[in-house]
Amino acid sequence: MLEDLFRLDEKVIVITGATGLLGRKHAEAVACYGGTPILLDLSQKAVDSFATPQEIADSAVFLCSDRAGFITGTTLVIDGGQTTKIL
Amino acid sequence: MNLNLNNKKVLITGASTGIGLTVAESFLQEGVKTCLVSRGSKALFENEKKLQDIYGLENSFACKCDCTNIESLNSLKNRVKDKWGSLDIIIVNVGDGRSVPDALPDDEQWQKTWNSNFESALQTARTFLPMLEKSKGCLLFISSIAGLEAFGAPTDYSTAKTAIIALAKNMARKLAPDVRVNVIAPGNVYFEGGSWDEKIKQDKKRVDEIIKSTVPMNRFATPQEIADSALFLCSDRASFITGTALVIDGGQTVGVM
Repeated sequence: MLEDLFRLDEKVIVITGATGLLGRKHAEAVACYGGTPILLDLSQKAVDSFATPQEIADSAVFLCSDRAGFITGTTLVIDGGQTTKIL
Repeated sequence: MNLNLNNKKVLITGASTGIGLTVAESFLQEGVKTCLVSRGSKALFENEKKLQDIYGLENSFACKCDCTNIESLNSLKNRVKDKWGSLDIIIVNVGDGRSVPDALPDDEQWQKTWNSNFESALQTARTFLPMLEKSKGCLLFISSIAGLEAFGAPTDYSTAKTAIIALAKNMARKLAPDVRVNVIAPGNVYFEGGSWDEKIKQDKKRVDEIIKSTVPMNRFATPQEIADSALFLCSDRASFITGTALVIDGGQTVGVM
């Protein structure tokens, strides 16, 4: 119920300073609640460090296709190298 | 799905048979210029000819190379530079799972397995990394689920395959965003002349039982199923995927995290 109050579906939210720690967390929260964050930052390189929805969609399409016919029970990490765990 | 790989250049080690050969043919089908590498065997040059007949003489060539030997790798690099000038993708596929069941294989056996599975991968990556940095390319290692779980594969082989995953993960972090580095960890892959083919010829009933009891999908992977993921991971469609090990095992590994 409480979560419904925070739904941001179909909302577009502009976040300035989006690649700093707080900005990044804001952007993740907006996306988490269904909104579309637009990230603004002086550094294009830092902006590029976020995934695009298209990059997630491409993997979804691949994993659901016949070309991934032997892949099951697998987690495909799409994080630009962010996670540090090796195994 | 448009993989947008047309006119890229790929080098594939361990390409004379099995997974490597299928990966090579799959890249050719996507319009990628392809260099097939193996320690040198009749099969390598026979398959080079077959692929050239189908996909055009100018689109692929084969090179003999011992990927555990730095001089041999340097000759290969010079050949690729002379022929193409640049390189976009490397598939590091050399490997050999044949070893002994001992808990700790003796030093001679250990070195042999380590060299053919890890040292070859390390030296191949080292040799070609400057070319990949220049092209902002893509490095893909073929490891194994034996590198993820200790389910009874030879100790030396399993350790080498784990090391490949650690190498890839560390390289990925340090080379981002310019070069993407990923791993495929296949389960049991069947192809004619492969190790499972040998085991089936020895005792088909036992192999059937192993597959039935360990692989939820109750079958082997085909080399094509590995090749399809290799194409995807090396394409622009996987542009945010780096430092990832993609498990293709029909559900065989049991680890949750």
